[in-house]
Amino acid sequence: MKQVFTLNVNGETYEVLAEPTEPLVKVIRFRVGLTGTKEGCGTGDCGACTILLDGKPVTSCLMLVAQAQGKQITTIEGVAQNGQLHPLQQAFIDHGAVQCGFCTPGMILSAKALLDETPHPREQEVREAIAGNLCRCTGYVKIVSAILAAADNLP
Amino acid sequence: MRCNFYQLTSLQETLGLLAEYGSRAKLIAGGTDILVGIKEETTEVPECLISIGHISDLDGLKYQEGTGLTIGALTKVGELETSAQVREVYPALACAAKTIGSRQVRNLATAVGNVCNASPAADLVPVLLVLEASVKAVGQQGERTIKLEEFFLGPSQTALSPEELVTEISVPPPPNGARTAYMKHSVRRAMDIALVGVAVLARLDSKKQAVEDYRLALGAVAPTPIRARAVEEIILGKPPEENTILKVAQAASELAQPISDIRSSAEYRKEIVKVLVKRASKQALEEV
Repeated sequence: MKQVFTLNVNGETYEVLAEPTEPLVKVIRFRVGLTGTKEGCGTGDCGACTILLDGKPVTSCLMLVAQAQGKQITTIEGVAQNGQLHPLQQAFIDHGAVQCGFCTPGMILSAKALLDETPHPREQEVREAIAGNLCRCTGYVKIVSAILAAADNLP
Repeated sequence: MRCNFYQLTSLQETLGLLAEYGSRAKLIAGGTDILVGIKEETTEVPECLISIGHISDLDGLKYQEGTGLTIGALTKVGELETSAQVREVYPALACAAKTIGSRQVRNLATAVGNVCNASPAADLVPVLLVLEASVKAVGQQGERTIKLEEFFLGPSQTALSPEELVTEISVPPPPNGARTAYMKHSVRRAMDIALVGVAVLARLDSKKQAVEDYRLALGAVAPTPIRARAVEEIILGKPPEENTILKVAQAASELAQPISDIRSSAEYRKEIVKVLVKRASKQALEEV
């Protein structure tokens, strides 16, 4: 039976009507209406659906909407602030780190979680942080250099 | 997915539901195994799904010097990886945690879930076995402690009754001066299931001439993770020499009863057991 769920997404409160067992990624895309979060495999392997839950990266295909209640959700739509791209987003553009773009929202959120905790990571730490995000255009080199460049530009 | 879904904040009420539904209910904490199973149709949609993620009593990772580590049912695998105390006192546990899934999965998956799913390849289990951990099982009839070595009955089969849930794992402090190691072989370096997992705990005597403690556990090479007690005796009381370590590795390989599946052949797994037991034993012994 459908129920009303109160979700906090990018600092705003949304009330959605959903089955409690609906995957969070589907609720974010089709009930909240934020389609920046992508669904790839649906089994937690590809990382396209990565969001931040209380600041930590999680695969939103492996969560039920009911489990997300009371948590702060950040999606790719919440990364830019006041119309200004986040340094990571700008670096992805500048370094040509976007090919087809399907993995990009998840990549950026995994990278953001890393930089929020470790503002100046080593390359190995960057690679470990995005180990759960697959790019099937296979352009990891530019993604890694974009993240390292964004870290250099952080205060 | 259509089923009765409950998400309660009280353990007592959850136990009541579990008693009512018994084996027709499934518990969900992190959900990283059950949701994949349901999607891939390897797990049946249960009649009732009970989320325990909002029961605050089950949260928490606590360490006390005398009594050791308590891992609450909601403790994420990622917390074992990053906790300063786990990294210092139980480095092999932090190391095994880091080999599970991706960061995203480790932020959802719970350590107790990794144990209760009873996968023969569960990465945390060989380390917990050499640390002689136990679980606390709670039901409406009361609670009991089950040694981890007696917890696993087969793939996805545990000693829990359908009315019980595991509220915590207790990990005693390692013996003074003991070192532990976990080694995993998988095809990919990230996001992969162990073909073989090996955990060793070892300690030399005060003169550093004889092996006083040696515990060995193997994952993914039998219907359950196993403690290889028969093999351990080979090296106990002996000097930590290459030859003895090789004998242990050979015996462990013979003890292993792996299956052939899509990830590896049984013969290959046996060979890898030999290599990893040697490497993990050396790491645990030489760093003493």
